[in-house]
Amino acid sequence: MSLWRMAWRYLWGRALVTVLTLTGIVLSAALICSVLTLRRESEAGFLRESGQYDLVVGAKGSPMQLVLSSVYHLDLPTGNIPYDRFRALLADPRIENAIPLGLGDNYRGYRIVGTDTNLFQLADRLDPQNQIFHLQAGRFFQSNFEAVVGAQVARQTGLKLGDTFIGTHGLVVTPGSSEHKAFPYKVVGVLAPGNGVNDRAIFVTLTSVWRIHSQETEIHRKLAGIVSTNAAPTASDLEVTAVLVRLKSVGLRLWMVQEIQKRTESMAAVPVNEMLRLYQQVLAPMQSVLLAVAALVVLVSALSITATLYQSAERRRRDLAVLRALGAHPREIFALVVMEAFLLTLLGLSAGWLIGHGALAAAEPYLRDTLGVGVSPWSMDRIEAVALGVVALGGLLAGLVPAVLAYRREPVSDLIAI
Amino acid sequence: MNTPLPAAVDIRDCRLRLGTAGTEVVAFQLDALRIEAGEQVALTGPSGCGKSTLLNLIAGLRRPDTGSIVVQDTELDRLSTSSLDTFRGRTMGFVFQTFNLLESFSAIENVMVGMRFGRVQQHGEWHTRAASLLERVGLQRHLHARPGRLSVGERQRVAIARAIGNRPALLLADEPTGALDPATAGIVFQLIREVCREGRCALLLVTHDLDLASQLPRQVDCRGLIRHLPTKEVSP
Repeated sequence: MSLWRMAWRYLWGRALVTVLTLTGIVLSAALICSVLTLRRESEAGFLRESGQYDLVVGAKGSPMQLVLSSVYHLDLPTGNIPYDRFRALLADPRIENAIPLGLGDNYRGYRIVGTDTNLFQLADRLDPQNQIFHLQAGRFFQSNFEAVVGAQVARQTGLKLGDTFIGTHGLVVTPGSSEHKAFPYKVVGVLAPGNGVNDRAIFVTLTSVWRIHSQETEIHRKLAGIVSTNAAPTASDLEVTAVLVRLKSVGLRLWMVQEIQKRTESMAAVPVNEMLRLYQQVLAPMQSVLLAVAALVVLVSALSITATLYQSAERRRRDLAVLRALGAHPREIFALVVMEAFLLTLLGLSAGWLIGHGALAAAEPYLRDTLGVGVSPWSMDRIEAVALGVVALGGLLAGLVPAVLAYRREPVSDLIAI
Repeated sequence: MNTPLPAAVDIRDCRLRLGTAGTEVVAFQLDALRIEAGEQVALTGPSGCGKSTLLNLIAGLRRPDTGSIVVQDTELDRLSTSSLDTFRGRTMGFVFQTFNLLESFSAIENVMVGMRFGRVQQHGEWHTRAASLLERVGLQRHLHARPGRLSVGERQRVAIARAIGNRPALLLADEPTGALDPATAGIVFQLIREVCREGRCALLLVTHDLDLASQLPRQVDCRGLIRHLPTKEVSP
């Protein structure tokens, strides 16, 4: 019968108290694991997406809004800019790639993004040998009203190759929104899951978006009593919502931002900077609060371990005295109490780790669908390991006080008669 | 020619400061007590005469202020705390009036715990020996029962099995039948005597029951053995 086994038996000899004490440790460990993992994974996810482009150029407004709407398909766009602006960017020798985006419609809440095929050719900056976009089925669009749907769109809406669908006006689902029934899209490609924002977008040609919206413009004109010219829209009439830009040199970012702000009616934002700002100003403080709560729970749990083991050692004074009478050394009594603390902490940390990461695994589809950020719920990094190590140390320290008291106790005082 | 076995217990000029009684500090004095190897001795006397204190001293659970206590040729005062714990576990067995079994452990585990701290036997032998000892005391069907599920008589049998688990040279039994009904008390008393005889183990049994005491070969009345003195007579 080893001391470990004895410690284990003593723990479960008072199962209710043990479970109650464990609950605190489990909660704190689960909170720490989930917050740290969520922070790490979401930060990595956001920065991974934002790092693909050096600039986003769009209508003047909030740079954060521009980045969120263009790169993450989350917020409303700041407005439109002339198509000529995009052409001017394309002609700029400092620019490696410029991808136009035209927004305005959705299908069951998923944004329909008008763009060109250059988007699909972009190399992944984190893995330059590969492209950002991979097809799971079909092909990329070649003509108007052909659509390539993201993996999540396909999964959630059931769209598959050959299906047709009708876009709805607006970027979010609102009751009574008009449908563009005259312009059905046909699915020609389905993207492979990338655990990113592109999983929940539908890509079509920019011209498709223009044609749908030129029709609307015509309707608006008629309603306003303006005689239609029936003339095809000219380049000067066309607009894009934003332009995603890759520069030949990252060092040009701030210079280009300033130049675009000064010389044009449009605005440029650096996605990485905006996301870091979002993190530092909004998400990081929230996560710090959660971690502070977790730290408090850890402290309370440590005190709870101390109280539990102290009470247990007090209640077992005679047991411990009997062990001394049977030949146990004081250091073995000390070790026995510390082992109880260790087992309690280890059990709590293990269960907390499982629950924390399990909760993330359960929430992963929701996070991916709403934020477009995929998380690896079972991954663990050094910071989390260190945090859990600190909790484990706290548990051990919590066991030291009752262990020292038990160590110093004279057995004869606890044996009524030897 | 056989070498004579060492005395199980040999106490000389032992004094211990006990505490206060009113304004006077009381101390315990025992001039001499010797228990031979394998001898069975009953220690009788009224409550408060020092019987339990004497057992504590022999067990090394208390240390005398002066004098010498030798158990199995080992002077207890020369041992460090850990060495004394080890020596106690190897050399002595205990049977308590209130059994003092570990409630979180089964009968066989209680016996094995004694062996674990006795450090006499190999780990691999514990289970087999504990099972055979419990069989010896008639508890072969209760090996895995917790003490709370056993009758008081059965609990005391587990305590006896635990006490002899390390084949001790000395068994200290403090009122082992005090919590038992007369019939069970008789059985337990005989069991203690038998296991001591079988193990050639000396027995010092504290009891108020003079009938039981008279069944042992030697009786010692603590009133003739232990004196309570005023403090001034005790050396600092």
